Formats: sequence, C-alpha cells, structure tokens
Amino acid sequence: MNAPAHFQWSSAVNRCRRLLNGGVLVENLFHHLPACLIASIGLTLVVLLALQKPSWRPLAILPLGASLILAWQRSRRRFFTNRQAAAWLDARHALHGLGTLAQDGVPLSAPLGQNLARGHFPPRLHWRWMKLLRPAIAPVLTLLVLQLIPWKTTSPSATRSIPIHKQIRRQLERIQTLEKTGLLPGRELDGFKREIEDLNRAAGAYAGDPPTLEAADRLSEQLAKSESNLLNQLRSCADAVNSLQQFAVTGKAMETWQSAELKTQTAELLQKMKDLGLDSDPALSQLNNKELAEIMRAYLAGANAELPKNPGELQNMLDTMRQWLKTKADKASQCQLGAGCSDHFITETEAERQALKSACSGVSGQPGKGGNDRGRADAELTYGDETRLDDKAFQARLLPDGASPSADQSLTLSIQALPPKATPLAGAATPSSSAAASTAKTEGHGAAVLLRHRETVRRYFTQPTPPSK
Amino acid sequence: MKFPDTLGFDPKLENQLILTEVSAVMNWMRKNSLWPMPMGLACCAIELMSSGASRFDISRFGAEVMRFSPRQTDLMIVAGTVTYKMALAAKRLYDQMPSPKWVIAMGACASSGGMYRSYAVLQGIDRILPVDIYVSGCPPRPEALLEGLIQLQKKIQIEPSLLRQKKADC
Ligand code: SF4
Repeated sequence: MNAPAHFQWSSAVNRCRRLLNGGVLVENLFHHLPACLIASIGLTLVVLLALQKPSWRPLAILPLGASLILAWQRSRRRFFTNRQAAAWLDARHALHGLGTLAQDGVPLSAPLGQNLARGHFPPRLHWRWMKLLRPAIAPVLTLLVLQLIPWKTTSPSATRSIPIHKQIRRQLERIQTLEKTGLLPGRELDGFKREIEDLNRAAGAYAGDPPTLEAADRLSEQLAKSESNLLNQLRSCADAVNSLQQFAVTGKAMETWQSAELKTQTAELLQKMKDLGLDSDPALSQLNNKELAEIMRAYLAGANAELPKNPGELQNMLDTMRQWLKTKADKASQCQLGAGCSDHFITETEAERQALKSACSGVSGQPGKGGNDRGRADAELTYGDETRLDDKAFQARLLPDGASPSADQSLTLSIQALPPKATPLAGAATPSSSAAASTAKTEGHGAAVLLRHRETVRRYFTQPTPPSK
Repeated sequence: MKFPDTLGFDPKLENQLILTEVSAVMNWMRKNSLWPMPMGLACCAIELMSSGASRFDISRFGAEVMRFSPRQTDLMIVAGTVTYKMALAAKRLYDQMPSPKWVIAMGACASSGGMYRSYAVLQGIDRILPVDIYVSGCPPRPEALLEGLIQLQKKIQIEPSLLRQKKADC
C-alpha cells in the first residue's frame, strides 16, 4: 500500500530538491563572489579613473552577473535529483530507506506509509552565513561606496585655437556666401575682402603671431556684427511694414496716412530698405510693383516720395515690400545668418558646439541643475550648524509705547506748495555749481531734528523698562 | 616615462655646462613666465587684483604680465561666479589662447558654482574648460592663489611638454 492519500510524497521530495539545489547554488555563488566583487571594484575604478565615465558605473554589475553564471555552471553537476533528495530526507528524518523506496514506486504498507508522513517536514538548511559572507563584506562595502559617492564629471579636454590660415579660409568662405546671396552691401564686403588680403599677407610673414590672430578675431567679430545688424534690420523692417499694414486693413482716413508722422515712418522704412540693398536699379526693376519702385526711386533721388492715395494701393505696396523682405529672410536663413553672432566662431566642429551646449545646460538638461555627479549642485539646500537661525533674534517684538509717532504728537507748522529748500550749513561756503553735489550729501547731517522726533527719541532712551507685550 | 623635473647640473663643470633635456628647459621657461589672463567675474577678482599688487606681488613668481587679449596669454585665472552668459565668453577666450595653456579655478564659484545653485550659474568652470588647479576659498586669500600658482608651476615642470604640444597641434 502507498502512503496515505492526504500525503503527497512526491511533492515533498520536489520541494526538498528545490531547496537543496537552491542551497547548492548559493554556496557556489559565494565561492566566486569575492573574486567577482573585486573584479567589479576594479571595473568601477577603471571606468571612473581611467575612462572618466561616471555614468558607466552600472557596468560593475557585469562581473556580478558573471559570478552568477559561474555559480550556475559549477552547481549544475551538483544538483540533487529527486532520488537523492528522497535519500537525503531518509537520512534527515531517520526513515530507514522508506523515502527511497517510495520514490522508487515500491508499494508500502499502511503503517510504513504513516512513518513516511514524518518525512514531509520541510528540510531545515543550516547556513553558515557569517562564514560565507565574511570575505564578501569588505568588497561589497567598497563597491557600494564607489557606486554611491558623487563623482565629479570629467573636465573637457584642452582645445586649441584655430590656426590662422584656417580662420582666414573660413571667413573668406563666409564673405563669399554673403556676396553670392547679395545680403550685405558691396562696399561692406569690399572692406572685408581688403582685410582678408591684409591678413593673408601678415599670416604669410608671421603665422600665428598674436597681432595677426587678434586681427583675424576682429574681422570675425565685424562679420558677426554685420550679420547681426542685417538680421535686426530685417526684423525692424518687418515690424514697420506690419504697423503700416494697420492703415491699409482698417482703411483709416487717407488724410491720416498723409500726415507728417506717417510720412516720417514711411521714410524710415524706405531708408532701412535702402540699407538692405533696395538701392540699385537692378533690384528696383525686379520689383513687380511699379509704384513702389517709383516711390523708392524718388526717395533715393532725395525727392518727396509721393505716397499711395488709397488703401488698396497701400496694401499692394506693403505686400510687395513684405515679399521682398521674405526673400531676403529666406536667403539669410539659407546661409545660416546669425550663427556667427552666437557661437559660430567659438568652437571648431559641430560636435564641440553640441558638447558646449550640453555642458552649459547641465547634465540633467536643466540649467543650474548639475546632475548627481556634481555633488553640491544637486544637493538639497540645507542649513548646517553654522547657519542655524537664532530664533530669538528673529522673534517679533512690539516697540515700546511712544516709540512710533502718532498723529497727535505732530504739529503742523505750515504747509508749503514747494518742497523745502536745503538750509546752507552754518559756516559753509555758498554752494557753487561744482560743490552742489557735496553740499547735498552733507546737508543731511546739518538738518535739524524735528521736535516731535527729538521727543520720541528722548522718551525711548529714558524709559527705564519698556513694557513688553 | 619619467620626465626630468630639474636641470642636470655638474659641479665639476660649474659655470661652463648644464646638462638637461629640451623638455625640462622648456618647462622651466614656461613655468617661470606665465602670462595670466585675469578672468575676473565676481568678488574673487578683487583678491586676484590684490595678488598682483605690491603686498603679495605675483611677479615674484614670474606671472605678473596680465594680458587682456587671449592671444597673448597662457594661463586663465577664472576668478568669480561664472554665469551661463559669461561661460560662453570664457570658453571662447580659452579657445583663443595659444597652446600650451592652463586654467586656475579661483574660489568656490569658479570651482563648483559655490553658493550660487541657481538657474543662471554654471556649476563650475570645469564643465567647459580643463581646469589644472582649483583654489578653495570664498574668496581665497591672495596667498592661496599664489600657492595655487606654485602648484601649477610644479605641474608644468613635470609635464611632457613636447608631447603635449604635439598632441595639441595634431
Ligand atoms: S567664491 Fe565667494 S568671493 Fe569668490 S566669487 Fe564666489 S562668492 Fe565671490
């Protein structure tokens, strides 16, 4: 007869086997763990000190993972089978071989089956925890510290200044682009080209000497300034066109439009457009609005510009202007105008530029929040012992009676329409215009204290014990 | 590879011959003729000025030739709070300095942002520049800056100057 129906011998054996195998795995894990921990520490140190990549610290988990694989490999050959587990239970619970017999499927009598039930107690494994753990304690702590301490980010590597020949080449390219697009007036570009020639000559003679480099810097600044001015002009022209648009849309009285103020506005706009390059015959004849071309020609000739007479014509003129400005703005964005005004010349490559941007926006992407590798930057703002607030010093306290002036203590002597004049100090020279400033400074010292104020001060200091409320 | 940090000197040949290596001579010249760029950005700059004045006299260490053109300097002393706006200018100036060049972060602000944990302040100039020496203090006394300078001189003396130059140029 088999074991009693309520008792499942095979599940007891399975459970026992799993526990025993777990024990085997853990024991073998500890066999490799100290070595793997030390490898983890080594890897962390390499990552931090040699490679200078604090964000790679989680790699330390790799040797720990390796220890798991090694432990598994080592344990596989030592895992208990069900039969071995049954034999272990036999020995553990003094079943005298009943467990092995039951496992082998040998039918047992009822009393023997009852005996077998004793074997279902879960096996109690006795771990020698401290013995196993002792060698791992120090490496685990070290690894924890290495993982947790805030680590300073790496300093960027040294950059070098751009060689003079390269600088000249870059700026020449820039000038050529501007020339091709016709964004900058020719006279300005001619000036830049002359400077490039001078630079080339100087660089040929003394490549890399400070004055030549400084001249190249100056040129790049001027270029950036011209670009920036051009963008500003484009923007302000667009604003002016928009503000004039109000008249065309609302159809305000054209007499208003002909007013002097608006004429001035329009004249300013025409001047700006002239500065932007609408001052040459080819440019004007390209305009599809003949009226605007006429107005512009008249303006350039110094004559009074005859402005459109009705809102429709005005609208047409503004549309043409807007169109022309848009073409300019498109060209400007095509050749990335304005990049020179910011960091175009600071860094040599796009990668450097990106690195600079990310450095400036902080590791966490939020400016000023440096990320946890910056130590203090991410720390909470706390007050240490040095800065603990002295509560008493900040307690609110009522002033003693009479310390603050009340209305009944004041006496109106006279009411003046003008602010009072400063009385010259006794014995002081009449303030001349140059000495006026110093007199103004000193007159505060000489000013008489008002009676009521004097009284208040006297009472405050003579009162023996100010009542506290 | 060890680089000589002193000049070889044979007493028998005194006044006639000094044996050394090119690298040591170059380093010796560089460390004793630093041309600083005073990047004074806040209160620390006052102490920096004081270091240059007669009482502390930075010229005792050969570093008195302060220049305001980056093209003529090889040591940037960042003294003060570096705001993001100024950080770009500092970076640009550093880039314009000829190699070899060094950076001293003077004071808590330049080293780590100091007490300004603010949206506007760069948390240490070492985010954008390779700092060689950090001088602690808020502000550091001029003596501290001079100590930093001496430490930098020691660092320069043992630098593989030729290799560094080569690396910077390639
Ligand atoms: S470290 Fe102190 S003294 Fe120096 S700039 Fe910052 S706040 Fe001013």
